[in-house]
Amino acid sequence: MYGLLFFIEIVLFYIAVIVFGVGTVYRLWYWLQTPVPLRINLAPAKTTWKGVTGKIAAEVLLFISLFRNDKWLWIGAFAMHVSALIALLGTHFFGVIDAGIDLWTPYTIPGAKTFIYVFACFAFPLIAALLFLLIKRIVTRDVRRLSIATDYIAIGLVLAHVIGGTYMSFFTELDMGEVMKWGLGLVTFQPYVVTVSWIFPVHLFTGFSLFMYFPFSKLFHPIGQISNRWTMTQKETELIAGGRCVR
Amino acid sequence: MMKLQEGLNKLIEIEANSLPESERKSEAFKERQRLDKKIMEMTIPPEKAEYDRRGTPIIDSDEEREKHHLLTFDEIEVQRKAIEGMIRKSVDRPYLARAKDLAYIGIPEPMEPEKRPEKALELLGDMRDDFRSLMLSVDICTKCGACVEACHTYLGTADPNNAPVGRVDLLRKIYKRYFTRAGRLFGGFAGGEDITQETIDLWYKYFYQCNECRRCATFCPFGIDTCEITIQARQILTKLGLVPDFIVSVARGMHHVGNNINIPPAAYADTCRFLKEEMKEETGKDIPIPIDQEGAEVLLNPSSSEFFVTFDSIKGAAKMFYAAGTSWTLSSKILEAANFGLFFDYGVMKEHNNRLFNEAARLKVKRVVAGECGHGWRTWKMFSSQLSKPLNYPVTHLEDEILDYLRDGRIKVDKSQNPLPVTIQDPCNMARACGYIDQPRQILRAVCEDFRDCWPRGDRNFCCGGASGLLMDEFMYHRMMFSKPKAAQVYNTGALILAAPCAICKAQLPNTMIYWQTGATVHGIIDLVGYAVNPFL
Repeated sequence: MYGLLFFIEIVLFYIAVIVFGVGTVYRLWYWLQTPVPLRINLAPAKTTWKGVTGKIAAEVLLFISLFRNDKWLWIGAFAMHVSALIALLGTHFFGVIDAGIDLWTPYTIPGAKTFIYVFACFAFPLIAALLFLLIKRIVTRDVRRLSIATDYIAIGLVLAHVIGGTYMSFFTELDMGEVMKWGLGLVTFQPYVVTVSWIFPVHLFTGFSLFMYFPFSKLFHPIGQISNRWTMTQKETELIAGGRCVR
Repeated sequence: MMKLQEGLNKLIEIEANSLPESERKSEAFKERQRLDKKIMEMTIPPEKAEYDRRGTPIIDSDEEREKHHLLTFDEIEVQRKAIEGMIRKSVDRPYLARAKDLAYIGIPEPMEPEKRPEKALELLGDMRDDFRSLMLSVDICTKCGACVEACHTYLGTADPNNAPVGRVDLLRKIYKRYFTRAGRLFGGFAGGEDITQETIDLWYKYFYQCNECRRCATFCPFGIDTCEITIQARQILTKLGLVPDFIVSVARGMHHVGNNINIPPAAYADTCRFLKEEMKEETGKDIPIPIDQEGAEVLLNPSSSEFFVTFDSIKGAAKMFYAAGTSWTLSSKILEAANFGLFFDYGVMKEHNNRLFNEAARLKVKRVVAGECGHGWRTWKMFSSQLSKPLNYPVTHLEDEILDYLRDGRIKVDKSQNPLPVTIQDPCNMARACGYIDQPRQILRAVCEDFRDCWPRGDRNFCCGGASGLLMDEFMYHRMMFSKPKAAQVYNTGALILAAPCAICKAQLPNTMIYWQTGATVHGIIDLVGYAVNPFL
């Protein structure tokens, strides 16, 4: 049992970091080293770099094309991504910062626990949105026909990870001291295995799986979106006197 | 005029009659009926002043129709019969070109079917390394389904392979199987599929049912452009020797006589003489249509169909240049703006492009003006500098030219020459690839009394259904199905004239308007400008 826990909590962590880092860099590099022989702007094209950046930002941050097209899908997708971002950053990073401050400084952040609870509450809209998207995929005739196993694997993994996290936040009392020791152990290469909780390694397993799966699957789509938009949203230059003609 | 709902019911009836009894209750058929209703809803404009509908004037005598440049009832009847005849003989994939025709334009002859899959894989590998757009599109799709009902081919046929995601999936499956680690390891589980002769057959069928209109790219949250996949897939098919006969005949015409529809120089010279006489009768002025005149200010690069079908376009251009006092010329080496190379072969595209470069140099013109053609303008505006070489003279579009003349007061226009309600078609390549959305509207507002914008408009407008070289007669059934949304749109404006600044639209839409009984007649924007400058010549 200890061996399995050691593998999930320690070995898998290092594997996931390497696979994630190398995979992401490799895939992005492979995309960007491939030439774009012809300009494939999608109109209306912007004329300034400010405009181009603004357009890409609106697409990446607000999914503006989707908003104009399919309101229901936009609601599902936007709710899912925003609550995922808040829940992920809020619970994990804020939790780590809070625990670190507790551990090393004489200070505490007032109301930190409440904050983490509030962040963790975003897991509920996240689960709802994920289920909504899953049901939409199954119900829509043509999307169902085109969906393959990996589409369901991706959504299932995320759901499992979020449900595990929610259970940990609301239904168990996780010893943050133990978690900090584990984290420090990873950074200082002095492995420390958390053995007091069963849900913690399960949550870690789904999390690391997602990390490793990320660069090789459709989960990579945010980075793909930026690359694709960048390819298609170039500045409209005076290639051949467009607009007012020269006499 | 018949209500579109009735037109759609008629379609459903035609479809039902062509299907065996059992299929009329099939799910696919019900899906088509659902989509027909969806099309109706999509094309009803929002309640805003600019989309105000003021009814449609009824013009039912043939003399009056001719005076207003509308098709007469006899013409409509003749064309309707022709369309229905073609629909009866329609097939679901265009006829293949013969080997000797391919050889004429320098394309290898068709391979034996057994060798095709292997060669296709090799070519797909090359394409992946050469086109970032191809790889990105295949890689990042999350199959959210946002594009499905944005595609007019899907709305028209309810064929899941015609939904953009389905179409790309034909190629994606092969790509995943052979070019990704997951696909090589897990095969079908990771969405891969072995390549077979049937795959190649499906590629030919469905990539030649894509209009390359890029509407899906506008609707996709990631901006995935099915047009890019279609272009690349067609390049692969071309190298396997699989090209529709129609497209090859067009490329041959270009190669042979410098225009797409094989008009010999003597024939169009004669047409020009005839048109000059006609304009003399109309206006009493000697309005020239010069060919190969060195040192002119403008080299006009119109579409060759203007010397064959839509004469009013070239007459309109001649009148406008005459009124503005601009010296202009046509070139006998290239009488064609439409560059069909974009639809099947980059080599042909490049050759066509170079031809225009050389002609401009030979005739020592000050600038080149591209005529009404959507994808031709896309090739010129977006691709020339990478395809050929940087230009040392300006190239503008006819729309820019008209707007310049209007702004500077070099031509005067009389709105009352175009009193009928006019709506607009945004050709896909003009609007979505080149951003010409406001220009045509400015012109139409200046030259027409009753301009009615359509809905959806601009970069979200529907394709005419004939784009990307799918104008073959044997494809008429699909062409009519693809243009269903367009017909609904025009019907909902109540316009009697549809202004379409694109040669392919002008070839496809008259059929659409007649088949779906919208009652509109198709003209180019330059036609309407020509009518409006008439009194001031």
